[in-house]
Amino acid sequence: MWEDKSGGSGAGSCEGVSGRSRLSILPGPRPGVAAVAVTLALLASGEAALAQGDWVPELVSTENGSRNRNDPIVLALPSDLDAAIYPRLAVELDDLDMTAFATVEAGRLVLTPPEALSSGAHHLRLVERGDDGSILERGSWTLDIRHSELLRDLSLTADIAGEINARVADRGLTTPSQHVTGESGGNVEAAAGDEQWRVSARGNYLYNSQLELGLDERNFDIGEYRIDGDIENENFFAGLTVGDHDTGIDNLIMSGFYRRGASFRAGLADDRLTVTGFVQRTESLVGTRHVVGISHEEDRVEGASVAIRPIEALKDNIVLTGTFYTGEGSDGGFGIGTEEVIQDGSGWSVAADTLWFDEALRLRGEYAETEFDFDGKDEGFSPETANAYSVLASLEPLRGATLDGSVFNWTIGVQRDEVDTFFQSLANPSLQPDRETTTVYSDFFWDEFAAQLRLDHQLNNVDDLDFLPTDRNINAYFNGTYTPFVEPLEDGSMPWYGQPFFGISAALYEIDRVEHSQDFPDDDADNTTRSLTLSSGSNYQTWSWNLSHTIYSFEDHVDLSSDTRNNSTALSAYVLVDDWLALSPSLQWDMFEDLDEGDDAQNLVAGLGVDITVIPETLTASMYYSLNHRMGDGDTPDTSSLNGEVVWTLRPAEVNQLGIALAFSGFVQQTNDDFSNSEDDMQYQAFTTLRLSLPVAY
Amino acid sequence: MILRHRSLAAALVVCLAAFFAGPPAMAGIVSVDTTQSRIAISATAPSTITVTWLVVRNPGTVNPNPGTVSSPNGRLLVNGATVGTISRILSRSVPGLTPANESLVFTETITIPRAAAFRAIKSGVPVVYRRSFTDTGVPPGPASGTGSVDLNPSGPGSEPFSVSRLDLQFDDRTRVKVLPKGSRLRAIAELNTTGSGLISGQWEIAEASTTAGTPVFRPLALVRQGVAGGRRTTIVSPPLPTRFEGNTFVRLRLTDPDPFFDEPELQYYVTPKSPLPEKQEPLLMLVTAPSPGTPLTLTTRFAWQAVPGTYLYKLEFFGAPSGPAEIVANDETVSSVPLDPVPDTGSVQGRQALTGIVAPGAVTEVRLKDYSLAHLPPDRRYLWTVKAIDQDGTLLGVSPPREIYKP
Repeated sequence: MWEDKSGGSGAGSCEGVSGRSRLSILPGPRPGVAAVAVTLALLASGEAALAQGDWVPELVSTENGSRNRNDPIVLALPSDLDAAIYPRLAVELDDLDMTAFATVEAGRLVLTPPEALSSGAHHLRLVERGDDGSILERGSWTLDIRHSELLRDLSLTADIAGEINARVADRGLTTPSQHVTGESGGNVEAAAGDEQWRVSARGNYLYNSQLELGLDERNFDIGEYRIDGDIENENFFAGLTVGDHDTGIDNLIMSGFYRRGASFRAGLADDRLTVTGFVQRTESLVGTRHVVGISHEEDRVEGASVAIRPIEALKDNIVLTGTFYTGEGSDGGFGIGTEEVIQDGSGWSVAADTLWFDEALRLRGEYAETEFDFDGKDEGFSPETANAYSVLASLEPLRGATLDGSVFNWTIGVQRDEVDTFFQSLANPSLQPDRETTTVYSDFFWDEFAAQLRLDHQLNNVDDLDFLPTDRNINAYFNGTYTPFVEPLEDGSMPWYGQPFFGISAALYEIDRVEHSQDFPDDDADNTTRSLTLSSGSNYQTWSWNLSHTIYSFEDHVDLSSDTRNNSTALSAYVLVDDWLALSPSLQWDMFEDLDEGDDAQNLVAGLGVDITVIPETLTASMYYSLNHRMGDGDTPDTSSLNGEVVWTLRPAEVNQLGIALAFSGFVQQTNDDFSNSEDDMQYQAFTTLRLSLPVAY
Repeated sequence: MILRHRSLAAALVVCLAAFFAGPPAMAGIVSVDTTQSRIAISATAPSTITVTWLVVRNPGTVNPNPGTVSSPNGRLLVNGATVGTISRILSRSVPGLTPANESLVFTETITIPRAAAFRAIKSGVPVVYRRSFTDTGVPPGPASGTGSVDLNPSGPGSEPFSVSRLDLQFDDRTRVKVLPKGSRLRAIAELNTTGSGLISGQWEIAEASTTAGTPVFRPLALVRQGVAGGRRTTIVSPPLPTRFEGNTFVRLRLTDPDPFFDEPELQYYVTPKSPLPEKQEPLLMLVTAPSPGTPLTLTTRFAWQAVPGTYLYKLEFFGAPSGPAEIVANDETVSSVPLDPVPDTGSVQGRQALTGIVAPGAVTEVRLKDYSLAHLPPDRRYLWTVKAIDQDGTLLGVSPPREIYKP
């Protein structure tokens, strides 16, 4: 359901302004729209536009003021409007040209939206194009599509499924005591809102009758969830989030910190001031053993971030950010393998990100300080204070320049990072400390070619400790792609080679010791790592393929470890043979050589996925064959396995209607062990399954 | 390599010396040594190292004198203070058939906590790893002996090759997923490493066709990623299979270096194919014009291969990231095996188009009109895609986002 939002003048039934648009102010907060209005006003400023007659279209309201979201949108044109103007009219909805779906006849322009309009505000625009190429905006309206008078947005979707499995055969496996198992999973999303507020929630759950396979060792539990509440008006916005989320703060002390907790944000509607406060758990969580995750102060970080765009005229070009946090806890948790030690720490950061010369030059800088107790809270040494900084200058010197008729983009940049030996943050646990890095890079794109080059000069022992050696790591990296432009043949089909692409990437790491430890002056380091990858592939209307080969080598010039070499080849494809059959073959071959010991090991992994539709929406089958073959030193048993299922849909799931299906699924694996031939070389299990599913949408 | 030979040679010399030295005056543990005089460890991360102990036992003159040489644990010391304990028993039985010395070799892989390295650096001394071995043989035992090895914090050029952290997530940052059959999904492993070497392992999954009973993991794709000098590296999985409904587990199993922690596993549940149009995954659409590098003007032709069943095509333009290109990332690897049939549209997903055009399903080429172009400020780069949508609103196909410059 939707309603024309009345108000405004001219057009009458909708918010906004209709009529001659030279001075029109388009509704809505979108910054691009104002720019477009100015552009259009300039374009329409010629005498020819003025000469095109003065007429005003009107948006026709429905009889009861509401209609379905697919209903046509009707604009009433003056009855005496010259029909010669009709072909010059164009309609945009949300800035997308919809003229192909509009008809004009007998003083009415009817736009039939090809897609159902979502709830919310939609921008409609009628444009008349002059004979001389001028553009005249005849009217613009905001269509406020509402769920009801009470709420603009209201939605509930859920995707719930479950199955009961009965094991009918097994061999060679330690099977669970339950012959009949059950499992279920579901997603739920809900949202409600109006012009100035919105509340949304989403989450998922898992159920498994086998406790050891349950989430967080429970039969039933919520997996992850998130609840958001936001309000906004013309001047201000604010919001609160509870659950698993990342606040979006990205700097030296906090980055990619997706954790459970709560955060609050507020600011000015023009984005010139944004404040974010957060309390989040240090370790990652799933399940509901800790619902919000922040009840224990020894397992959380808390802090805030402020972003300011100080100059209104440059608000898209200059942003200053300050962040601080304090807390204690350990890294790790669900999905993270690491050393889990309770530590306390704090940190702050100030950063500036600026764009100059019409966004052709970026200057960015950040300075941060952390305090971190490396050997545990209240143990050993006191917390260590350390600093880090990062500065970047990047330039796009020849923007828009063309070479041989093709635009080329070229960026050059230099970045300097210095992270102290003992710089560590609870909210950015993966940042590599003790590095002083200077990077020069270039990014180039022209015609069918793209290339990227990066050179790093890196030193450790940033704190210049006599006890530690200083190593230098020089890294060179190149990545290039060639994507030839292929036009279709006369009959519209692609040539036999499809749309091919070629790639090359190469990396070199040269590490040597530039300053020895005073305590171990004889210890040395000098090694070289190289890698080269060549890749190619092609895309066709119904299939694609990809081939790559990588050579890797490691040479230790002081013989601390073995020299090694590795060759990897990968080939994969996807073939949509027909509507009823899709194939996914793949092959990987790898050979590792220890050049000092003379050892080598080979590994072959092959796979073939098959998806078959026997009877559309009724009978389908899927299977995957996998081969894992190892040879050489350290040989281990080869395995080949086949996973498969056949699904007979008794009643397809429709929206708000239960779906029922029966399935037969199973797995068989053959282990080819050269050293024994026990019965356990053959393993299999098979199940009959009853599946229920319920997609919900409101 | 030479060092390894040197270690073996040292072990051989110690064994031969012990063998030819004959029975000493006192029987029991004669000596405890390690093959290396010191071992480098990381200064900034936990390190996994291998220590080889050489224990020489004298069984005495009354033979046979069987016994068990064992060490219940090892201790990490900094300046004489214990900063950690390695609780692993090393034990071996010996027959003691003759009076000649018996040499025993014990090899263990241990992890040195970062806190121990920190304390050593702050104190300006190495971490000492010490073990005491006892002999239960009688007579003349029991006796004991103690040996140690210095572990010196070092630089990235000589620190041991190890993985100190592995963070496993799905590509939308979550760690539990419930999604319809046929959906696009990848896992992302972020690893922190020390030293240099080739990360070897494989992505493995236990599909729903096994998890109804006993989960059995199978290889999905091999992983080979060279790293040098200790760094953060990201390994992206190939598309995770969503063809079997039910529970699926995924993990990145590392074979070298062997991690000191249990490798994390993620879990996702595949529901039947959703009837909701917005839940359908599109296939790749082939774009046939414009050629790369063509500027965006009124004459620029956008063309594509027809997709059967299409009701409308939607050509959309989005803003490209502002400013010059970001620094080139050289620390991410994406597995291309098996091939992903679904194009990656992450750079424009969820964003509102700045402008575009909607064309009926019979049309496979369009040009932007002047009033649409006017929405795009000049001298900027944009991303564009074309989508094929059927009458129910289902997205049938989409082209990967391409960049275009508007003069």
